[in-house]
Amino acid sequence: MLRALHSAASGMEALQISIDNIAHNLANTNTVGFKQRRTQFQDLFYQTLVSPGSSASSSTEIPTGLQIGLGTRAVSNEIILRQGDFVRTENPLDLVIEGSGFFQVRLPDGQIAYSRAGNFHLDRNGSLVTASGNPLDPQVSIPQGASEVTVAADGTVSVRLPGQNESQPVGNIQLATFTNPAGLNNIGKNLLLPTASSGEPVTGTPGQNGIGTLLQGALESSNVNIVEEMVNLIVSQRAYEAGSRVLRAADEMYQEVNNLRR
Amino acid sequence: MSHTLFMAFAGMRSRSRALDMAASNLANLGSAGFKKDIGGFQIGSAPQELTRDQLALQINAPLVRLQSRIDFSPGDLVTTGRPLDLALAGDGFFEVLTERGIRYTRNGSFSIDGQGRLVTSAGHPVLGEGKTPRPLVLGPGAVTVSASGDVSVDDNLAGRLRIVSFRKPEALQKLGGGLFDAGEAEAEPPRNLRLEQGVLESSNLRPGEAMADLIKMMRGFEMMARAIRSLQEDVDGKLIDEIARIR
Repeated sequence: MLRALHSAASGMEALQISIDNIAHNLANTNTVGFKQRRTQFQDLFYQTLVSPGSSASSSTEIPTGLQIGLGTRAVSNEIILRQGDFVRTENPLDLVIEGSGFFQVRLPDGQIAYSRAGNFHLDRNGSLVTASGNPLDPQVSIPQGASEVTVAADGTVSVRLPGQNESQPVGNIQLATFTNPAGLNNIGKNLLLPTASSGEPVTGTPGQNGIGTLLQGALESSNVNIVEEMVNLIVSQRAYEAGSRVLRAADEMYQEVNNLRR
Repeated sequence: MSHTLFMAFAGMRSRSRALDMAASNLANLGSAGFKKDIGGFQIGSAPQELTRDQLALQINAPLVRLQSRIDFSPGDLVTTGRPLDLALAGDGFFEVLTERGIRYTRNGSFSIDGQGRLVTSAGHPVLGEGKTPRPLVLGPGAVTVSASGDVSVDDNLAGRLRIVSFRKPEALQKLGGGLFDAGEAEAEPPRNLRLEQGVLESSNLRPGEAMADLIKMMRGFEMMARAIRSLQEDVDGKLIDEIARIR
């Protein structure tokens, strides 16, 4: 019965993590470029009380034995990279990656972080920066007085300068891909950092070598599916309830044992 | 008298173990590919020394004992839409390479690691068919998996998942982490192979059934406890206090 108490507790603990994860997903339904995470569970260890095939007597064998599991644990919550819906904004500095790939963003400490959020702005020097002010890498600067900023599918940024009829290219946006993008490390603010399991970033021109293309004037909304998360919430809550029932059952059985001698 | 006590005790012990089992099953309600344990109450033989006694032979009701086996019935298939979520709609197991050799799993929630290998959520490489089974290396690109286990990346065939079945699955033992150890059991090609992509097999535990079992277990336990109490108070108590009383 002690095992039952711990198994039930392990299940409840894992479900708490799952509910925390659902809460985080649901809180980010309006975050541009947000990718939902999904909790995965696995069974813990097993205790073999009677091993199958051990002899019950000199001539018979126990056919199945007795193995009792010791509960569960939340093993991972991987990033689900499903594409989010596109929302048209008509803002020239709003970009969407159609397909795989990440924008490269330079952090204040010089490190490169990766992001799917394409809501860019101009800083006072005319550089393209993220909503939190980190510049794109390689940097793209829009000269003063330029109008009609266009971003082509392959990442070429062109502008029209005053007094000129033709638009001029002023920079290129490059994207990075990973062997295992689900293994990236979330650091908040829509940013991800590479890890040993994600592999090294491979940078390239959008539209080449399987990298996605860019689309201007739209944003990729969060890929959290509210209905799915609600279903997960119900399932997790009910399973939590079941765990607490088991705890109560074990508790009552203990009571029964304690009452054996009065 | 003590024999009845033992019987009730054995009943309590087996039910408390059954509760442990139910707790672990229920805790794994959310583990993909989980196969529940089912406990069977088995009649074991009574302690030897009692059979020598003629009287004991007559009341020699055997002791109850719990046995477990893994229920391999399929779990419900849940669509996730994630391309690396694979479910075995038929029989069979995925073969994975662990530190301790080849193990088997029904949990098809895979990822690609930094080296491009197809791995389980614990990071164990998933094996593909070949002269000698080896890890499937996929690399970047859109992964499609056919119903028979052919894995393609961007329409180029990358390999075929190794999926095996066992004639005697009851010989498999659980290792935790969704893994099974086949031991001596012989692997054979699955009779009914059907892979589904973007789908996960959920635990095969039915919560309603599990709750009903739980109640049955608790009440059985209570009954045994009551039997022990009544033995002590009504029978033993009367024997000592009343029958043996000298007036």
